[in-house]
Amino acid sequence: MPDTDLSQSYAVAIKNTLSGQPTAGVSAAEAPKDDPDKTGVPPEVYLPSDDLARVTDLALALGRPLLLQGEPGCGKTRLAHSVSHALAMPLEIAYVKSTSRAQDLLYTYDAVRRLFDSQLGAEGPKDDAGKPLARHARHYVSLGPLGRAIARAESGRRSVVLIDEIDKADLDFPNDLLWELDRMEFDVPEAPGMGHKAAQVRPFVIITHNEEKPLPPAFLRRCVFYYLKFPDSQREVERILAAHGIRADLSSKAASLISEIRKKDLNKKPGLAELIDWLLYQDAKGTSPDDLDALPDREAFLKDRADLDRVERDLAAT
Amino acid sequence: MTPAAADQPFFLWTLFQQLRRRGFPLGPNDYETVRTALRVGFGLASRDDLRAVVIALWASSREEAAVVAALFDQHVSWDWEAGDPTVTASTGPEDHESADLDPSHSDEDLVSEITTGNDVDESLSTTPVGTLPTFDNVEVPPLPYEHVFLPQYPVDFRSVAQAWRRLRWPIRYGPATELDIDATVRRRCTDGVVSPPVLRPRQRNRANVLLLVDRHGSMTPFHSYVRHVCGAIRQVGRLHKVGVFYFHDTPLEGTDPSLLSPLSGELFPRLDAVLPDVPPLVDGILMQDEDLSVPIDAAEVFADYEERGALVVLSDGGAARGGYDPLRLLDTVAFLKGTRRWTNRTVWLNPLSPDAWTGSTAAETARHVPMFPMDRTGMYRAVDVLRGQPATIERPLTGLLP
Repeated sequence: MPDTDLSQSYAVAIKNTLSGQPTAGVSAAEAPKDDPDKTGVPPEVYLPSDDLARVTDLALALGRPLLLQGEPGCGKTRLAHSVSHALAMPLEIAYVKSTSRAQDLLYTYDAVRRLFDSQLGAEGPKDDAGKPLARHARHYVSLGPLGRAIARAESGRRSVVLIDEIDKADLDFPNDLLWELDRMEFDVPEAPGMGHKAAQVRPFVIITHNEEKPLPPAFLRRCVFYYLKFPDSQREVERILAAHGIRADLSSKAASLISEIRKKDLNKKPGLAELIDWLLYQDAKGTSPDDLDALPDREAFLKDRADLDRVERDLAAT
Repeated sequence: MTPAAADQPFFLWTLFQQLRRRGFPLGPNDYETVRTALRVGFGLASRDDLRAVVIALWASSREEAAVVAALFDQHVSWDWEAGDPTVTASTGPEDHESADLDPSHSDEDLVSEITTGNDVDESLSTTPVGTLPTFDNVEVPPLPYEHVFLPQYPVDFRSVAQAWRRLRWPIRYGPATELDIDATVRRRCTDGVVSPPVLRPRQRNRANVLLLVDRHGSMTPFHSYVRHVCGAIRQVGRLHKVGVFYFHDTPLEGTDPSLLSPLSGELFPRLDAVLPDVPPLVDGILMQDEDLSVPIDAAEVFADYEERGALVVLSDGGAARGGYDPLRLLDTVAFLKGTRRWTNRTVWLNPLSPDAWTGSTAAETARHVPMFPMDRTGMYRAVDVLRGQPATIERPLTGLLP
């Protein structure tokens, strides 16, 4: 059980960011110098609910992975970007695919290239000392996203790791990560001595999950869980739209339209991301709030033929 | 803590116990985590805040979150503003029942009516009552919490998954991505020159399972249980392909009933005498949906699962009502004979326990096909049979596989 670490608060940092203050405060002191290429997480327009900010802080303090569930397009993935920017922590992203293995998150060992190099013998690539690279396995090990984050934590710097859509992988995937997520350490059997172990700080892991497959209970036990709902009040939708820079008259009209659309019995309810894209386009086109009633370019958020037909029928009826 | 509260358990502990009783996989570690979170200051701002912390740490899905929230409301019922929470923390629904649902004052009339009825004459078994007792329209106070109903099946999700994960048919397929060291070394040795490495595909489970589910009639009480089991096999069984199709009573029907005529002298005929004559039944329809409304050609389904396929029939086989139906048995045996053309790995899962099969069609069916009760051990044994372990049955339908 790691110690609770209350030194960082996302709730405070995001408030500062939104109120226009520079992301200083918490993070200025440790403004990273060690790897400048990882600092440039672009600012993220993101308005977390109070609950979400609180749960994020809880996960940060306890050093547990944060498991996010929710409808597509509700900002599960964006939270990682937002946390990374607000707390000025480097962001490591692991997009999980159906062929992903847990080990890929930590490191990959390129056995094939080493074999090629060794077959070339003395002609093969050499290191600085003039010895063939193939002599040492460590030349063929490259760290994965979680591996880099653990290595960075070893030198005392925290990073955000986003494991996106974990349910897309094989069921072994989360099980194989249990030890590493718990202890935040790993070893590389192919190249002994290359392993890392997080010391004082632990990487902050955000895992998103689309409920395609249930995750093993042993894995879930170690996570802090949060279900991201579609914002339930019109005011909140308005605030989010305004944060994205949509005209005030358009966004107040859109907020009521959105709640109406979502009340319809649709096969696939539009997510916030799609609606924001649609409104940004309408904003740029200069659509007036009254014209919005006819839902122009509704193909941007209705992705099902039956849904399109239904909305068209409803529009014709009114 | 006041003396009154001292003998009441800490509300968090009560909640923790309640969740554990409902099968939440929580351990001492999880309990400690919530306490740690409270100690460092999370969840102290308001009641909702506390609830959010408990949900975040103890629930791991939306459904679980709803259960934790409901139980939280049920057990943490003190007034947040009142101060020391342990003073008024309730220990459970029992308290409310005695306080809010006290029936004595509202139903006095009814109670007296019943007692007078008893007093009239003890020798009479029935007492004429002029009119039905009238019930006052009493307003029952609403409960201050919601009830939490969770289905509890004989086998939980996890055990089903554990049993069915043992059904493996590992096969290498897909793109060649893994380095085959042995083959590479061998090639290098035989060729004697520099050669490219040999790659091979990754190993994956290719076991297919076809589930045939009996619907309606005597299976109605088991619908939700069977759905639970099928869902678990489908979601976490880690099989290559799982198909679920439905039928009523017997998967396929239409065997000539005249085959039974040599047995007409017996009351409960066994099929043994005519067994070799029963023709395999392969044509017919299965249903794709639970309501048995979308038919699909059975031969098409079987062809789909021919390769590395296992067949599982989920049906009570007539045991729920306990009757013996020779025609049903005949159809079942003909169907089982037919399935042997594409797989010899067939098991029957019966939601009823074996002592209920006695004397019914199910007991007779179990003489011809490995039949197991749909509990934990039964399912493990069923998977063992599907993995190739021999099952002892009285009259196996042998020698029919081409």
